[in-house]
Amino acid sequence: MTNIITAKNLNKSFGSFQALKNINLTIQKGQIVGIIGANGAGKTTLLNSILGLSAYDGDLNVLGLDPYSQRDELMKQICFISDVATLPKWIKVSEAIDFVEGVHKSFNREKALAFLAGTTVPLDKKIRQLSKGMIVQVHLALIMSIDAKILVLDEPTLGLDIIYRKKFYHQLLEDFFDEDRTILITTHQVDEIENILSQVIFIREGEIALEANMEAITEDWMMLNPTAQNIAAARALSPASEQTMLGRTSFIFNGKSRAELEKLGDVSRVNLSDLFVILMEGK
Amino acid sequence: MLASIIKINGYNPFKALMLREYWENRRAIFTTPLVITGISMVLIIISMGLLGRSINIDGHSYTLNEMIANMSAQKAQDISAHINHILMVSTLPIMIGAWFCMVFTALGALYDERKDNSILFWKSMPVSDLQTVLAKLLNVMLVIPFVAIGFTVIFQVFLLIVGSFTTLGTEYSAWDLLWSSTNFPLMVFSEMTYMIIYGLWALPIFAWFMLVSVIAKRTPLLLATIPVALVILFETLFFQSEYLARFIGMRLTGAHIFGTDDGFGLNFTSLGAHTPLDIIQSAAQPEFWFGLAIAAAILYATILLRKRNSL
Repeated sequence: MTNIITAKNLNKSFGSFQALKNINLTIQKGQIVGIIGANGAGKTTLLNSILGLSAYDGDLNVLGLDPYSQRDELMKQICFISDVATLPKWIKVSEAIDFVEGVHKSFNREKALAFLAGTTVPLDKKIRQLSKGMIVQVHLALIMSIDAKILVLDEPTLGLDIIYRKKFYHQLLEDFFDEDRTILITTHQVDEIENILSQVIFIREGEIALEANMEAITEDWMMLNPTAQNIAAARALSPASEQTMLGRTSFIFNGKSRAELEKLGDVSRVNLSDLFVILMEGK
Repeated sequence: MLASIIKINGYNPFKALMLREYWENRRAIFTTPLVITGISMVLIIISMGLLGRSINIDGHSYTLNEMIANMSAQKAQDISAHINHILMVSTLPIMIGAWFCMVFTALGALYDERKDNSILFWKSMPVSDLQTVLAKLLNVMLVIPFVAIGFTVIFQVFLLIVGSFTTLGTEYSAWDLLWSSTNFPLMVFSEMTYMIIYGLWALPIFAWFMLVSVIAKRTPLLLATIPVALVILFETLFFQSEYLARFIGMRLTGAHIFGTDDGFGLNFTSLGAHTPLDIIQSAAQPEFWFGLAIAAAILYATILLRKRNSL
C-alpha cells in the first residue's frame, strides 16, 4: 500500500482561532475516506490544505507534492467538487467541456459527452439556466472524465434531493472508483455514504477524534440491545453511551468482546451517525 | 478559420485560458465595439446622407462635396495626410469605448470569480495563478483593443465607401482621392503599435486595477479610485505637488507617447500624423521602464494574493 496523503503536525490558524491542531494523518491509495465532523470542526480547512487552496504550518505531502506551492502541478492528478455553486454561471456546458479539455491532459471528452447524454442536460445552455441537480451532473461529468488519482468531494450533494444524491454516489462508484483511485468525502448525510466508505476520519474542534478503517470500527464499536433483565449488567460494563427510545434501551460499547456482549442481548454494528454523536460529545 | 480559433482540440492551456476570457467578457470584447460601430454608421448615414449636415474639421465647416473639392485641389501627400487624420479621428468612439471596457474588465478580472465562488472551480484546474493572471492581463491589454481595432477598420472602409458615393456624378475619382490615398496596412499597424505602447505606458494603472480586483470585498471601482483620489488631495494640500496625479493622468491619456508634456488630454490634431516608429521611440524615455517596473511589482503582488485568497 502506498501513502498518497501524509500530514505531520498540520496546523492552521485564522487569527486567534486555531482551525487545525496538530493533525497527523496518512491516507492510502484505493480508499474511500469519509471526513466527518460538526460544522466548523475543520473539515473544509483540512481539505483546502490538501488541495493547496490555503497555506498551513507543518508538513503536508500529497502525491509527493507540496500542495500550496505546487497546486497547479497537483491539480493534474486531483479533482475536486467543493460545492455545487462553483461552476461559473455564465459558462455554457459545451464551453466548460472545452475548457477542461484545454487545461487537462488526461481529460476524455467522449466520456464526458457519453455521461451527459444519459442525462437531460442541454449542452448549449448556460449554467445559470440549469437546475441545481443538472449543475451537479455537469460538474460530475467533467470530473469523472479526468483520469485523476484523487477525488475530493466537499459536501457534493448539498441541496440536492434524495434521488439525485443516490444517483450521484451510484455513479461515483460505478464510473469513477477503482483501486488506483482515492476519494475523500465530507458530508452531513453520513448515513448515505456509510456503506461505501473504507476509512473514516472524525474531526472535532480541529483535532482528529478518531481515524480508522471501517472493519476496525465494526470490530471495536458495537451496539447492544440488552434484554430487560440485563440492562443493569450492561450499564456496569461502562458503555460509551446509553440511549432509551420507545422503551428500549441500547448501549454502545467500545473495545468489548462480541461474545461477552452477546450474553446480554442482541449485538449489532454501530452506525456512523451514532458514533459521530458519541465522539462529538467528547467521550 | 474563426471556428478553428475558438474551438478547443485537445490540450492547450493558453488557448483555453484566453477562450475563457472571451466567453466571460464577450460583451466587452465584441459586443461593445460592434454596437458602437453600428451606431456610428447609422448616425453618419442619417446626419450626412439624410439630413445633409456639413461636418466640422479643424475649425472649418464643409459639406462632403466641398470637402472633396477642397481636398482634390491639394497635393497628393496632403490629401493622404488629411484622409489619414479623418480616418484616425473617426476611430475615437470605438477606441474610447474599448478603453472603458479595458478598465472595467480589469476591475472585474479577479473580483467576479470570487463573487460567484467560481474561483474554486478555476482553482480545481491545473492552471497556475501566474498563468491565470497573465491570461487576464493579456485579454485586457491586447485582446480588447485589437478586436476594437478590427472594428475601426470596418468603420474606416465604411467611411471611404460613403465618401465614394458622394464622388459619384462629380468629376472627382473616388479611387484617386480616397482609396489610393489610404494606406490601410500602415494605418492598422500604427493603431496596433499605438495600443501596445499605450498599454505598456498605462500598465502600472491597469496592474493596479487588477490588484484591486483581487483584494476588493465589494465595488472594486471605488477601492481603485477613492484612496488614490485621497492621496492626490493630500499631496496637493500638504506638499503643493501633483506627482501622482501627473503619473496617472499622463499614462492613462498616453501623453508620453507623443511627447506632449502638457499633461492631460489627447492631442487630437496629431492623431494619424505619427509613424509607428515615432510611437515606439517613446519607449526610450526612462519613465517608460520605471512604469514597467512598478507594474511588474503590482502584478507580482496580484499573483501572490490570488494564490492566497481562495474565497
